[in-house]
Amino acid sequence: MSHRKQVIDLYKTLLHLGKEYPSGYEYFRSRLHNAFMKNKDVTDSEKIEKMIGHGQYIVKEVEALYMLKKYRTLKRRYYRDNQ
Amino acid sequence: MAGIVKNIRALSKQTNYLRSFATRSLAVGVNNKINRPQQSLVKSTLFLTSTQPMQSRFYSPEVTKSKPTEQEIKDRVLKVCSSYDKVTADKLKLESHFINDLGLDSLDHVEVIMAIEDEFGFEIPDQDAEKLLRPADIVRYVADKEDIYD
Amino acid sequence: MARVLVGVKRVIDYAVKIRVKPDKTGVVTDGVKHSMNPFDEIAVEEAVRLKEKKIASEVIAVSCGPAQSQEVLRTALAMGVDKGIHVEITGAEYDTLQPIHVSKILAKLAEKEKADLVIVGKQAIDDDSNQTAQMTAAYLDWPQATFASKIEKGDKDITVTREVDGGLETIKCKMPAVISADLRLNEPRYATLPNIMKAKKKPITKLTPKDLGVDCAPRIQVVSVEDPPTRQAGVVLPDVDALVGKLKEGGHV
Repeated sequence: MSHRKQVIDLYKTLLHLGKEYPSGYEYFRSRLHNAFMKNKDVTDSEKIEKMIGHGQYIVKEVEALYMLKKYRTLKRRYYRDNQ
Repeated sequence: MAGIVKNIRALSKQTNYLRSFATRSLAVGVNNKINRPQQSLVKSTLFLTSTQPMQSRFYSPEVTKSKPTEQEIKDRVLKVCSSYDKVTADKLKLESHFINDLGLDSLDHVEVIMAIEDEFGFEIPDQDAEKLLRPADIVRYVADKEDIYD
Repeated sequence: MARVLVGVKRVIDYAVKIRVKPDKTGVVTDGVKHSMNPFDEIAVEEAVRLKEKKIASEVIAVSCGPAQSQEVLRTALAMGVDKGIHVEITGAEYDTLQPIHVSKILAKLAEKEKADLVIVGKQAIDDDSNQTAQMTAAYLDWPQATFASKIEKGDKDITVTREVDGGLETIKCKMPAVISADLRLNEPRYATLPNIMKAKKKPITKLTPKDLGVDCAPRIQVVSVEDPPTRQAGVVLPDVDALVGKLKEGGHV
């Protein structure tokens, strides 16, 4: 897969995740856009790969954030008394 | 992004608690973030969640069978493009170039394409997407996909 | 290999602040974000894992409700379910749709689809009925394993660890069976963007309760819906003595 495609996929994946971001989609989107744009002139292949890896880590962590938030809310609502 | 990363760092330690099903509470800072209402998400017109009627979103075969006319596609494409906040509505024409005329950057373009995918309910592969540089290109592409010219 | 039927309900999103209608007939649903009942997500995840472990051959998701119910079916398909069945129920019938109706529908579909396992969430976070799994099992005359926190498939039977008051209970039951998922059964996966796109190509069949011979006349009448009592505001006390006094008054010390 070309770097270009990987970066676009990553951007799309993150943007999709941003729709549910607790501080709001706009908050997420503007920061995401800036973070990507800041590195638009990077050409070093190794550096790009490292940044893609970092982005993929963020994806996993945001997913974990959502899962945790939901899990904790349910736990608080339904399991408060018995533990 | 920095804010996001910070949030995540605070969080990543906590994730382990979840995995072991322990009950310790999260760092308060993270909790506050989490509980903030999702105002701007709902307000964003680019990706409607559930408030606006968008019948085209129910993708069952029965529903999508009725083919849209070319005019409908034009209207929907222009509607999606104009609802993107960096597009000035009066500059927007079917023939305007997203990057040269409307001043979007390549990531904005990706976002517009995503909104189009959302609107019409199918995926646009990257190699096709990068050629869709004017609303008119998108209209033609969607029309081809929906097979309205037969 | 087993065929698995999962029930998924479209409910008001868990993060939304619920508002009761002024006339107390229900809660405000117009213009409110909806999503899949979180306990049903757990049921879907378990079914998909059974498929990934080659224990299940096909996973079918069912949702009962208006056209928008297809959105939760799409989510289920994006998580890895093979096909969806949308049992369309709209208008007044949807307003009075109750677990008994859903149970009948699930039972009919379990027979029709030759399912070996029916998995549902233990309850929905909107009405909190906690009845669908139990009644579905009754209609089918199948064994039931409710509040499952672990599922292990044996040769012809299934071993389920259940969350009960004060501990865990492990039971073994014959297949076919009905299972309801508890919070700790698994951690549901996130429906990724590419999978959501792929899910758009998976089939959803549309049916009506009538097609299945199910009568949706209401059996329960909702008399009134009210907000939970609001917490009383706290008071600021001037000093420690006042605090001790208050604590004594309340019988805490």
